Amino acid sequence: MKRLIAFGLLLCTFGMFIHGQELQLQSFYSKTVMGLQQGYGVRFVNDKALGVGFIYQRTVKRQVIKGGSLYPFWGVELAIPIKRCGDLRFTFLPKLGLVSNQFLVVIPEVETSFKLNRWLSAGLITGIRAREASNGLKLTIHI
Amino acid sequence: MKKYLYILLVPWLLLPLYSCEEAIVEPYEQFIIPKGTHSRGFRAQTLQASSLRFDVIFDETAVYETQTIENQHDINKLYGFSDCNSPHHTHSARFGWRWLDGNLEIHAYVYASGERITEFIGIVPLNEPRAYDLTLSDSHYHFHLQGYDPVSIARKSSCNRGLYYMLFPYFGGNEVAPHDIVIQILTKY
Repeated sequence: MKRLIAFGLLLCTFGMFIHGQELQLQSFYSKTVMGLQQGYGVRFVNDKALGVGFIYQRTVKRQVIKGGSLYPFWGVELAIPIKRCGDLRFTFLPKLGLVSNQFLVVIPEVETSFKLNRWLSAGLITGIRAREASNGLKLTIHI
Repeated sequence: MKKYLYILLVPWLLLPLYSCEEAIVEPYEQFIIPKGTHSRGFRAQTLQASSLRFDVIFDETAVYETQTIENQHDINKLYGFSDCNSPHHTHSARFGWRWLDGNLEIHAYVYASGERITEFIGIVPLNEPRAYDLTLSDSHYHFHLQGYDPVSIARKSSCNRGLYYMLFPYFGGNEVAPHDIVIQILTKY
């Protein structure tokens, strides 16, 4: 799995240099039914704001009950633009990946992001995790 | 420069992530099996950890009498999951229940390579929560009902990575629910 992700990352980086895509680095916190999860990601976005990325997230350790799982999630995400109003963007983010390197899950999310400057944007994320609502905050660095 | 002022908004945006105290009442989800049906319909959800822990409350609606006497021995399904990338009639593990001889019995209910295996676990009272734990290991399904010894049944699926879909309350057996049946479940993460 990790090799596959590394290969995908390499391929996307190569594609980015050829087609002039944008690279985005993401850091986020999301409040889910499994507790507060912390995550990181890298996303490649083309000139039509369509993107593909790799995500890692897991429950913040101090929130986990004794013997409970951290629900570590590795996966890919698609970024599909819904609407853009000036610096405000609405994006649909379906994620697909493995929890605990074993359980296949789909996490649909919607991101509302506001571009603070050329390099930085902040956003709210709302989604569905295990049939329960999740919400969180995201900071994105545009490279 | 004005745009940098938006950074000042960040602490306010962080507020939704902060809770002052834990919720006092834990929300049980109510599953109603309508009269004349086996279940309340399709529901898509996947397992996200190797252990499925939950509390269940049965009430008086769990008392029933089947039309055919032999069907009273049929085991209704409570909660569980299909095993890795398999249909649930091939590989799955669930808790089962039935009303028999004035008691609400809880059983382990497993399909392993298409073979159905059941084992009695214990008896639970009505209107009182009981904790259940169904854990998946490489070789076994481990069932644990609060107050009873754990029961383990061999797992025959060699698949490990993939889709494990959840299985929800289902009445039957052969017969449909003789009246509305209400089961309250609280899944713990």
